Amino acid sequence: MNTIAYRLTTPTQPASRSISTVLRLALGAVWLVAGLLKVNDPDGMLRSVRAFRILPEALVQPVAYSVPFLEIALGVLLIVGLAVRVTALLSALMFAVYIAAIASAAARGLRIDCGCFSSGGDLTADAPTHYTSELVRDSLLLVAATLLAWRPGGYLAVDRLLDQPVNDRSGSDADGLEL
Amino acid sequence: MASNSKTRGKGGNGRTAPTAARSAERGGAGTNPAAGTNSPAGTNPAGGAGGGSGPARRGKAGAEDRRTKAATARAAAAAQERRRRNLIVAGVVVVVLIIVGVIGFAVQNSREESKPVVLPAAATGTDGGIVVGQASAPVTVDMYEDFQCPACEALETQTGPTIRALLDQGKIKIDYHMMSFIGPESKRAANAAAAAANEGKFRQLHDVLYANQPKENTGGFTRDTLLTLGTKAGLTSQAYKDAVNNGTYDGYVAKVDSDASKAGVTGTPTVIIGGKQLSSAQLTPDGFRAAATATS
Repeated sequence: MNTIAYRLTTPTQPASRSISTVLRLALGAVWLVAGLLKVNDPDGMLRSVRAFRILPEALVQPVAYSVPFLEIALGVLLIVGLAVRVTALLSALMFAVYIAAIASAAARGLRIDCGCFSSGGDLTADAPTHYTSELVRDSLLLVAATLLAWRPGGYLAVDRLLDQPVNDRSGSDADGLEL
Repeated sequence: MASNSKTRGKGGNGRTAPTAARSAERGGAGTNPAAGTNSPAGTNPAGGAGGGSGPARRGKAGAEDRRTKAATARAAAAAQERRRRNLIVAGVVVVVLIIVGVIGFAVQNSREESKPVVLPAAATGTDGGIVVGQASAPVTVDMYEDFQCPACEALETQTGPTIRALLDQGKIKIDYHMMSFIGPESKRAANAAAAAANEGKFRQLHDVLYANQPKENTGGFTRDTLLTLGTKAGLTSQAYKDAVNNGTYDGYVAKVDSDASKAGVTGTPTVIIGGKQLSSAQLTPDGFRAAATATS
């Protein structure tokens, strides 16, 4: 039973837990960096979001202003390991949206910077676009987030602190009442 | 929550489940501050009624049987409790994320203290563009540039003489939209240009600034530099100095930038003639001349 596949796919195995931990911390760091780089340039975010020409003008501002904060919050939650499955699922959802947005910009021939790790949006006429590398990167992040949602139980997570004592307590409490 | 407990209470075997679940909740409420905020110690009163009579009826069964059943029920209750608590944590996290988003929006919104928009005298074009050229010129060119943008500098160097000739011949007039997304120095330069426009010297300062363009965001366009370059363009008035030093037109500059962005301009230089954006091939002297004269 101790095959590599078993070790990797069984949530309680150290190998599985280690990978989950690495994925979680890496994703958390990515969100933190992405959010912090954008949070101090609300104007740039506005331009970035508008440049995609997907959202109506009324939604551009709310999205541009709140997304960096959401990214930072997701980063913090992932790094401390609170509600990992939910944050991983939300991360995957956000990456999927980003991928769709970049792909649609590429398909429509827009020349924009994705603004993923900066306040992009505008590119001067001659600047190259980086759609392929942006899509590859976001796809890898999407895969990582999906894996993490599948196996959220890593080490060093608040989730585990929440899990352990309550189970013990419920066992002893029930003993006292029932027997 | 309450209806759920009632359903469980109907089955004989299920009676222990609410009891165990409730005891688990009690344990949880004490030790678990994060989930505890929502822990429904008080939200599940219905389950209590069934719990009391359960052990009495079960007394007829063998002790062994009872223990196994109790253990199974405990395990099920623990699993259920874990699921329930996970849901609560998930719900709390989602709500917190939504609140964070709303707060973030409010924070950024309040940061954008909108400065008063002071229109310079020549800003009579669309979206507050600064109009240069003879009013009788048949063709209007919308020009979107940033004073720090190297590609704009290249355009000014390469095609600038052609543009100036067409302006002087009265064949075109230009609405200049000086964008400022590259950095604070772009904003300072655009503010100075607006001050120049107010004195009818936009063209002069525009050309001087591009002739002396520093590298992007290297501290090239300071207030002092803009004053010195202003002198070269014939701007020596106190009004110009005050405007540069006080950022009189900062609000106008921000408005031009955001109007341009809303108009779908995503890069500089963008040149629009008759609603059509020129391709990079049309930004050469010959290409520009052809595009500018074709529509007249």
